[in-house]
Amino acid sequence: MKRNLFALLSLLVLASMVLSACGGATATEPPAPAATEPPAPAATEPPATEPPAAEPKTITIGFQQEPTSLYPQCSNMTFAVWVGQMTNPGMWTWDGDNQPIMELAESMPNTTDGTISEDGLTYTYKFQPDLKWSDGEPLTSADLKFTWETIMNDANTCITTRLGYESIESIETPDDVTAVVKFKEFYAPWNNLFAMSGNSGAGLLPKHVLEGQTLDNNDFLRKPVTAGAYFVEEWVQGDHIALQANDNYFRGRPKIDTIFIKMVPSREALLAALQTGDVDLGPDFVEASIPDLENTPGVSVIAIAGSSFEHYLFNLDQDSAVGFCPFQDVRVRKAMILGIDRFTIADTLLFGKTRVVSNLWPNTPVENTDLEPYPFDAEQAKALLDEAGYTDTDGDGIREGACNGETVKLSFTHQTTTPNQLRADVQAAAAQNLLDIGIELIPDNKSPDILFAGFAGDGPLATGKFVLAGYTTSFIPDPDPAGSFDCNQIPTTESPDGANWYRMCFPELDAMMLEQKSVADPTARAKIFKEAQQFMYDNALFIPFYARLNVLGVGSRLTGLQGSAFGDVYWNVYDWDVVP
Amino acid sequence: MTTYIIRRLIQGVFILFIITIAAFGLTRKAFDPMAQYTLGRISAEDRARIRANLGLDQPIPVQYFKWLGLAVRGDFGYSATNHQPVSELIMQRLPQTLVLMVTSEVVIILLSVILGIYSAVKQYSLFDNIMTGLSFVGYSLPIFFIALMLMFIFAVQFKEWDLPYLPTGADIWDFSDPRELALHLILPVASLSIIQVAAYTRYLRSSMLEVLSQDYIRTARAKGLMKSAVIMRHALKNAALPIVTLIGLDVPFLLGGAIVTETVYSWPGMGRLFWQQAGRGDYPTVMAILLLVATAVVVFQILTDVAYTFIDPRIRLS
Repeated sequence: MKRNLFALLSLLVLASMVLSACGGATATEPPAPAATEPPAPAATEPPATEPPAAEPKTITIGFQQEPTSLYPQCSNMTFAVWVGQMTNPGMWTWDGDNQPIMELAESMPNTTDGTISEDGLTYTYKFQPDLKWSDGEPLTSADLKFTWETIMNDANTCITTRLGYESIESIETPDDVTAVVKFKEFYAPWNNLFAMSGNSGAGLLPKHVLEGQTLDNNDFLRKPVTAGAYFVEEWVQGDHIALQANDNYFRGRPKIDTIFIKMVPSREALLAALQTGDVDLGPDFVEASIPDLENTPGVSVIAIAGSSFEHYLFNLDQDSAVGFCPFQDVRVRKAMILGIDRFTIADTLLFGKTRVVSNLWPNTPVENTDLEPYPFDAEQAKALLDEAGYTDTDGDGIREGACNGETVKLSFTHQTTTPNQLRADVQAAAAQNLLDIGIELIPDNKSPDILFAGFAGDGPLATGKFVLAGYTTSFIPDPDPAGSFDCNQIPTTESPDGANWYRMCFPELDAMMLEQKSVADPTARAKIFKEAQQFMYDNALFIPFYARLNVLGVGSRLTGLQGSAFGDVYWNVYDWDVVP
Repeated sequence: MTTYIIRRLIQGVFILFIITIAAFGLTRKAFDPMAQYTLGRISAEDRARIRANLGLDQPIPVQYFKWLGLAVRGDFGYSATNHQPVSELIMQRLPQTLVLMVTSEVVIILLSVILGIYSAVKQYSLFDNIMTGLSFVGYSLPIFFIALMLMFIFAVQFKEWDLPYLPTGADIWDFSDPRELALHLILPVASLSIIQVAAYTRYLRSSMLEVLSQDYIRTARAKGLMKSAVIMRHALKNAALPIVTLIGLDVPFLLGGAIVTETVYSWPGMGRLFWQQAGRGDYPTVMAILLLVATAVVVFQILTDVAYTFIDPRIRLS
């Protein structure tokens, strides 16, 4: 026994020495360049009508987060929508200028040709003729109806939102290229339904594949049958998704043959991979990455100023136990906007790649472009504060004044998310500017899960336990702010889900927000939104900062990318190409 | 010994039970599966529907016993985010993780044993002093720094300088091709090994030094045994005990993967799965991984104790 053990041990040591010698050899062996070459496309691919070029065109996109599902309605991740845009078109989408472009639809329903009924409740969808799914089966109006039925089916627990679809009463399909959608109630953002865009991911589902099945625990979520420029060939979870060009695509086979989506969870590694050429496109960088990307050889940067905006919000609650009394005075609010040098912030901290905004609908079709952002004017700001009765009486550099019969000092906290270097830098710059006009801003930053916790979770924003706060949001693809400014949407114990975190209540604004929900004509509706922006601007209801940037790193081979208002680039994936 | 093992196993089951209660409570408290539906345009009705579908509308003890009832039968349920079985998610990652972690552990043990013995035998030599210095450097560096540094030098800069370079891991490659696998393993294994080798070398060096000064080693030398025989047969066996303890503690965590290294080198392992699903509030997956690692810890503790009796006959289990 003892002897055996000795023998075994010596053998182990001997083996270890041999193995380690081998290990050393492997480590010094130079890798062949072939090792970094992607594998050839699968042999099962159907032969194209004409012989493909000698070298298949292949690119790799690096995703920092892996989608939970490849059918975006069963995932609330932007990354899932991005895959959806490349694989699964809806009736229409929006291009780089935020104009609708038709995908499966021949035209968008409208009031002029009667495809929208007089009462705004019935919509006639016209499909392009001879559409096909990636498996070659015909795509018809029955698939649209099936998609709606699938979303509304309780057995499909994976569906994240039914918003809008639950307003539909019935869908009729008189023929293969026509669907008549009847709504129970008027639903203004109707054109977001059955649309695949950077912000809403509702492509169609194939009835011939899914009929009689549920989506939950269905492999369809990992390998869907779609009708887009590409189809999902395989998804090796945790590693990569392989997309192949679709020969049945209605615009014709796209230029690039294979798109690999590689999961690269580390931003630093993604930057390195862009530099080595392992990855051709890296989305979802942050504004602070711009200098790094610009300084990386062989990498160019796309910074898309989208419709997301960074803004500071005043707590406008009229109850001074909740709100901050001085903010009830428009002169104080206006002075704060005038007193912060937002232009220098955009030029330096955002590298001049975005613009200061005047309203909350930047880069959208309803933006009131007549409104110029308030200038930086410290003198005017001081004059307004003097006029409002706030002066520095005790000589500490901070103004105080009477509000509701009490002396209030213009010194308060500002809450935004941490860790976020850009927000911290902007906050520091704003605090310095405000101090110069006699207002003290004290940073009180919190992690997003605390700041954005709901009413039940005692989140400062939801419960109104803040004075001045800052975060990013957007009102796209539909401009409807979903109750963000409505008097009856101020969160309270009775209605904790209220969306009005500004805690503002202006009857004029309320009326405008109510009216826009009942107008079907996009031009008339845009006019109401522009009036609302004028009202918000005149009353200085918040401090708009800048349109947020969506930052992408692009390798030197990839061409044809064009940003959309949603900040993504995938809507025209069929136009992408690689240069040798 | 059989009674001992049986008793330990029964204790182990009890410990696991306690662990699952603590883990479930903490996981459900720390990660809210609904958090991802707070922002964006999810209506109150949709939120309520999703909550009910995930069973989150029931009290936590009820949720726990439902989970436990299935888990004891080996059913870890469905991922709260991916709508696929948890076991499927785990089984996709387990082979990749084991390849990376077992390779690293083997490299770590081999290098530590060789360097540790050599340092001890040649105490205060130039080699020993250099190793001591390097150990301190290696042990004080954070893993993300080591991993990124190695990638920057051997993948990015070597390519820039037209030298043979290693992959970043962000490329598309075939896991089943041994050559590609070897190339893709080099940097992550090196990153994982540097810190551990630095530590283990120190342990082995000091326990070897202690053993080498013992009388029986002098006796073995005096009776004319070859130097190598003295070190390998007489000294190492006695010096190995602390290392066996450490390895016994290490091995179960091989299943859990290495979050930082896997993240930097885009390695599709368990560490990343755990981290990603924890962030998304996918408690069924998080719980399954925790339970897997906890079970391995309990089992390997018992195995380590049994291994002691083989290495050191003075130890008796009772």
